[in-house]
Amino acid sequence: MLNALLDNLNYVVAMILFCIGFYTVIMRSNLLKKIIGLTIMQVAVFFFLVSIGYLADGEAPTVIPGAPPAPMVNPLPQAMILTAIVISVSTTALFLSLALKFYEHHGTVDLDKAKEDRQ
Amino acid sequence: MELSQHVAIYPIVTLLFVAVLIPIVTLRKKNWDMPLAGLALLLSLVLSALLVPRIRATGYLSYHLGSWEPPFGIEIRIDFLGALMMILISAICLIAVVYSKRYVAPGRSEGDKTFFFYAEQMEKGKRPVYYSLFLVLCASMLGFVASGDIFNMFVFLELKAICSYALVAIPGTRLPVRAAIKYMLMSVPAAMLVLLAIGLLYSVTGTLNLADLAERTASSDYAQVVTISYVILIVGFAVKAAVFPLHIWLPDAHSKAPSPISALLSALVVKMGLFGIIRVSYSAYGTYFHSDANFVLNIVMWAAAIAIVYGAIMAIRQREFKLMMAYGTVMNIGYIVLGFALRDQTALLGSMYHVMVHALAKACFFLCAGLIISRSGYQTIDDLKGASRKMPLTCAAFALASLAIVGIPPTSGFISKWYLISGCLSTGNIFMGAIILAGSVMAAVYCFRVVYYMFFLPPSNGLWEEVTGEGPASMVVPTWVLAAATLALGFVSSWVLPPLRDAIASLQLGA
Repeated sequence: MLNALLDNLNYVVAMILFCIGFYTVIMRSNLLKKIIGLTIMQVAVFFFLVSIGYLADGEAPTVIPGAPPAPMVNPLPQAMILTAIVISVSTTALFLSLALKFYEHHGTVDLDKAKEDRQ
Repeated sequence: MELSQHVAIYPIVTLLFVAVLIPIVTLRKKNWDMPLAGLALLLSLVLSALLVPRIRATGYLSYHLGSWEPPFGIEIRIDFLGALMMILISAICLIAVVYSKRYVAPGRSEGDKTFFFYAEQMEKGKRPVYYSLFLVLCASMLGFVASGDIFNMFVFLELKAICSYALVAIPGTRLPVRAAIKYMLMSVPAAMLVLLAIGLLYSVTGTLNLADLAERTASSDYAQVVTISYVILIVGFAVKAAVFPLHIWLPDAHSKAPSPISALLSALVVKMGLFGIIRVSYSAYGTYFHSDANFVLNIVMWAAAIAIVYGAIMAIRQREFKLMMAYGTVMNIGYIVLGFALRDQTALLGSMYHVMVHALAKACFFLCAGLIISRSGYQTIDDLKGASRKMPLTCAAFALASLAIVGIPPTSGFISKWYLISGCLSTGNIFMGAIILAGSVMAAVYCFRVVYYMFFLPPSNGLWEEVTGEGPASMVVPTWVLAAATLALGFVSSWVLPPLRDAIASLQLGA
């Protein structure tokens, strides 16, 4: 059991991170904490994808003429994650600017407090 | 010929190019934003339509981005269903952009009560951004339906989502910002679920190409991982598509956005989630979907059935008419998902046809709502009493579209529901057929109540007296084009249905 966990440590860590992020998004009423939670979720998924392509003692995926081909790290998940990071950054930037707008209207970034104010 | 090689990506590239061009050009020529956007969308509509004869000849059009051969490179793969969606997307975007011209522009003079609703909210500097985001939104939807690569689908899905968050919040006032935040809080985790599922799928198959995935998931040794990734992917797409328990972001976002954007969101943007579900189910997970997915599909089917009833009841209960229309979308998404979950060719034909019917009719609804709001500022259904005395054309367009939404016989809505119900009956789900019928009755309640108020009741205590009349032609004509298209779709169904049937049959084969 423990060995199975240790062998798949990357999966376990990614899932725990994902759950931490999800918990933060759902349970915290502070908008900035929610954004941090979202970022943790995104990082968890990125971590998971990069770890799929990892190979212990793998080389960088470049072919050198003449040299014997060595075991290589899979570059495709890394390329995917670069794209996904760009998306994640723009999402976070947009969300932060919305949070700023929210603050201008309500004087707080706490969703529960903003609700109380209205009543 | 060099140029015709790249024909598959022209509609998308045109829009992206002009989207970048607009903020630059408007630095000098202030009023060129809308004509440029309209021109780009017209061009992309024509280019999408030109794809159809080619696709009819060969079954699908495959284009390799950067000349990298699939499965290594990204493939653009447009089948007839994709081409039809591309035409629908660029046509509705074109109509909405023409409508936007006066909707987001300030009133002509100080005393002009017209358009006061958005005049103050859309400062002049925001207009180029509005049109730019509009074009990127349209381009990303085109890219999504044209994509033959699951990661590329994710990228376009996210591009679409970011544009729609920004467009919901673009007035910058309290309620739209709140709605956009709610939308993002649900939609961003959903995107991460989609990416997680793609990662799981990649870890057991080693490919991202949809056609390649179809072969490799069929012979995969890790059937459990395939199942888990399918469930995660469906949940992720279901949030984007606002399928019943995951719909809570939709009513706020769709009713608080500017009306042309509401029209796009309801008519097209939620359909992308649905199209994603159908696309991956029939290609990437083809074998699993046809043999083992019973349990998942049963849950989806019941969620859809509840969505129909719940959406209709909530629509009847609303006091604001834009909220009523938004809940109507929740209900109609239920119809489309139900047709998919039955895993029957006739039912899927019905649901794809309903995608088109609902896109045209619901866009028409929201454009009518925009006309009424911008002329009068009224937002509740009670205020609509006697509206036809001042705005007969708008009210007539609303009545025509509601005929299709309800599904009165000669209209297009009847045809889609006919196929949905016959799909239910042929798979033995009589109860689901009954729910579709019951949903139609409830849709009649919420649509025809508004029509009744508009045409047959007098205005209550002095409302509508200050309203001078119909909106400008650039808003009424697009609304009527949509209303006429909704009506016409019912009469040209004998042209649309056979190729659509072929397209669905080729989906079935996993082509």
